[in-house]
Amino acid sequence: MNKKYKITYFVYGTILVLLFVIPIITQEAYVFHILCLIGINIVFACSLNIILNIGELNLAHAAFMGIGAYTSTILVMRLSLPFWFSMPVAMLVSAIISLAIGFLTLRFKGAYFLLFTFLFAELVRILLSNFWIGLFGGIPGLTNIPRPSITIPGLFQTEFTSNVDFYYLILVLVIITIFVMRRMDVSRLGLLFRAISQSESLVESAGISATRFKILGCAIGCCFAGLAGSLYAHFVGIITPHDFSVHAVLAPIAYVVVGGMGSIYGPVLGTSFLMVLSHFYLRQLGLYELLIYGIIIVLIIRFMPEGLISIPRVISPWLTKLSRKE
Amino acid sequence: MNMLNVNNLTKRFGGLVAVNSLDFFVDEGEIVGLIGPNGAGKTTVFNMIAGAFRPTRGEITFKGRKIHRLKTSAIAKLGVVRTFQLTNLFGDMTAQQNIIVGSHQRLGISVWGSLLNSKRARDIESKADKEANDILNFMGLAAQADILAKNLTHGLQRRLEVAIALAARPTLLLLDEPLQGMNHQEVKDMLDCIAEIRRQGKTILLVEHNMKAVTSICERVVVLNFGEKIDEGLPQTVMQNPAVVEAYLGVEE
Repeated sequence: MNKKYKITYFVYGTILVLLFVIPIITQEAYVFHILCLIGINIVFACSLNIILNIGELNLAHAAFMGIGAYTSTILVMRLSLPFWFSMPVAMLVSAIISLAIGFLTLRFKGAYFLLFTFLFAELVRILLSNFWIGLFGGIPGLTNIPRPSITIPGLFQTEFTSNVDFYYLILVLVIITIFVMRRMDVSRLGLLFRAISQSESLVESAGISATRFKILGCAIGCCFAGLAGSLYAHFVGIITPHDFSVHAVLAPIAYVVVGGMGSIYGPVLGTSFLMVLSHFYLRQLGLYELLIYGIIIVLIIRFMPEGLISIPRVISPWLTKLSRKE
Repeated sequence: MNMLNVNNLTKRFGGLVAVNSLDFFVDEGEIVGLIGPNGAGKTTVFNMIAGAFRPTRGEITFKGRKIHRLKTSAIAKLGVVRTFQLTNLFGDMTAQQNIIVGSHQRLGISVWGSLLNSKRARDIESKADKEANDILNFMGLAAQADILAKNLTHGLQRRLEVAIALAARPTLLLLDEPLQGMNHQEVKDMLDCIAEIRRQGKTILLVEHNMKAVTSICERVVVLNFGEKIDEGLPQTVMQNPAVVEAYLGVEE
């Protein structure tokens, strides 16, 4: 194993250990509330990143998170099924609906796809607000969504009622998500997605149906959006149709772009950075919060177009220059 | 039977007739040049054969199968693979990765197998790597295997495009102006490459402006002007035809 890999694994290992021992340092509920939200947003940003990386922008991505959230909630509350069954079902339902949508729309490119997804996002919002109110709860949404629980008889039991417990659940799922993304990126699938985003015509002329792979990529992305939705519903306990409208996808787009679109860790870094910034530091600034937040995003995009993930590459020439001067 | 048959092919863009009732054929093992002045409709013909455009009228058959209603990817699967007039590469991928995408369909690696890192998928992947290296060697790109395609010189980029097409193992290779924008040496190298591909028994249909190159490598040429065929035959004979000279150089005052 060469030196570069050693350093990389050391850094990942340290971060992982730190994340697991945070509860020893502090037990404050607010901190863990935000950490859980960051985790959920990381899953969502990663799933959005897949679709951005096949060269499309899905404005209905939050709607698929909503589909996951509502599916999971309805299965748990109306049919009394356990969370551990509802969560995978929610992922599956999101993926299947996205297959249908992808099949209809991914043959359109760029702006047309964007418009269609915008319409679909609105359609989902209106459907959830105004139809089958007994089932979906209308505009006020669904409340008192229970948290999941694990019971292994005689050994172990937790209800995930405290944010610290839920934090561990989310941490494990985030790690699994990142692992899947990483696996996908190094596999043939990742190579084909990158190829499609760079030249669809060339992929087609190599005998590969680009549309088929775009539909597949979209379905995988939406599957993880469903996971994020299911976690969100059971963590926050209240879901409304407004939570999953077109606006809800704008902040995650910023997370992905600020973090760095091309890489797996970009969305993770971007989400963590921007959410920690806004929830722990900018909160105190009151009216100026959004202004400063916006300026920071613009500065990052201006000076690091490839995102925060490119910091080592941006800084290393400066460092060598500095060391030479001395 | 001819490998490729083009019958009464017509393409209209609104009021403009880009290609008008064109007939020609390509036999197995031949290297045929499709030539003509700018705007003659050569690339339009190419786009129709490769499935990028649907013909307004007429039909294209490849090995007896009608292909003019198929999608590009389906036509490529049958063995008709094209290159593009404007450089078309996966710029942010290495030369080797570019070629691996080219061979993906043929080697039939399952995306799920690759995702789960199955033994079979790994075997095919290493086979793809090896084949890609062979193709890089063949095209004289071995030293550039790990360089991003966007960082290659123009001449090498054009070669890489041909290499990607070859990775799909076409029976009929369509080359759209492979010599465009090249310097003297690059032209010479590319012609050697094409001759070598030809020697391996591939059938080639070529669109090209460089007349000297066309005469040196093509066995037969089809001359287009304003979307119609004005002559067909041996390159040397065709060049003597006053109509062809006129199309290229204009009428003497």
